[in-house]
Amino acid sequence: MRKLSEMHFYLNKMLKPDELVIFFSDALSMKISTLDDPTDGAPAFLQLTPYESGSFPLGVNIAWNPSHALRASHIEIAVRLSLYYNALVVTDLPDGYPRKEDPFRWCIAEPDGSLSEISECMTDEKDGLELDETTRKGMAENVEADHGEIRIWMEPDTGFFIKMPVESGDCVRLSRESARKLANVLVTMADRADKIGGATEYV
Amino acid sequence: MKKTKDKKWEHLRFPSDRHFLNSLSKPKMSGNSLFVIEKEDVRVDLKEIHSMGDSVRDGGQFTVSSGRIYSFHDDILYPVSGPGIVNVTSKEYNILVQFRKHPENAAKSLAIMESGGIFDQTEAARVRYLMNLMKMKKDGD
Repeated sequence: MRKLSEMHFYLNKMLKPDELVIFFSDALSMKISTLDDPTDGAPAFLQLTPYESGSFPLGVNIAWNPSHALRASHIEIAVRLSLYYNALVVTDLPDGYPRKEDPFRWCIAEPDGSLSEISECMTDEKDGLELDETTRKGMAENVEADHGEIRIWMEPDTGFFIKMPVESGDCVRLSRESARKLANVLVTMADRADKIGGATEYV
Repeated sequence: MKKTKDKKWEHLRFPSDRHFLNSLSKPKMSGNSLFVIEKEDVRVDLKEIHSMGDSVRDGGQFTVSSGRIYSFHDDILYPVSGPGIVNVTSKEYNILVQFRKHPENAAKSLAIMESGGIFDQTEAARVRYLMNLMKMKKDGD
């Protein structure tokens, strides 16, 4: 699997470069350099691209020296960005997601913590990003357990799915913190299901 | 074996401008495939997909006689791989977008990223190759 050494995001609001440098320095635990403020020996570089068209005026690329390991995924960082700046944040679909390579399919993180898969608006292609709301689909969320990840997703027409991919077939052990996180994720997803009237047949 | 005409895929459209060096726009972390060939060559591929349809299709992909592979989203084709198609990372694509608007800034960004080990030699060489192509295309216009 490709080692992650860059992330790309689109935000629905303009932010000051200094703010983003502080955010990414903290999120990546790395020194960040920019074009306007190059820092000697900084292992990461932040590039900002303004867009005059579309609904996402700011493109954000953060790339770092691959010798620096990063535990957080681009999805986790998108969620953090969205919560921190109360912004819509668009990024690539998670690794392993079907049709991730499709240049017109994206993942959108919203300040309420939700994640959706969404396609670009194809009728009037602009330089900037415009999304087609009719294509929006809710996505899975992951909770870290002691020895693996618990994957939870909702299929609005069917219900909630919880997968515990432990190869040994053993039970998944949860710490108190993980149990609370799991409960919170389920409550958030149930609230979301209420809003869209989904997942009513099975529990 | 003689290939038969198949109209089932005639609705598929020419790839988006974002795959052409003179009109780059939105990078992604994956799926940034760029043409380094002329639009005329892509039109030939499109014509072949329209006329050959299922006989050059394998699942969601078409492989045409040029060796290029295309996939599609709704009714828009996009390049996947093959001769004349280069796949780049979002940081590379971003430098190229910058190069289109502010060539000096692109060169400076590339130098900073190289010195920090953020670009390896292969990536840096690929970006320089693509920047040269962009410059040649621009000078030729």
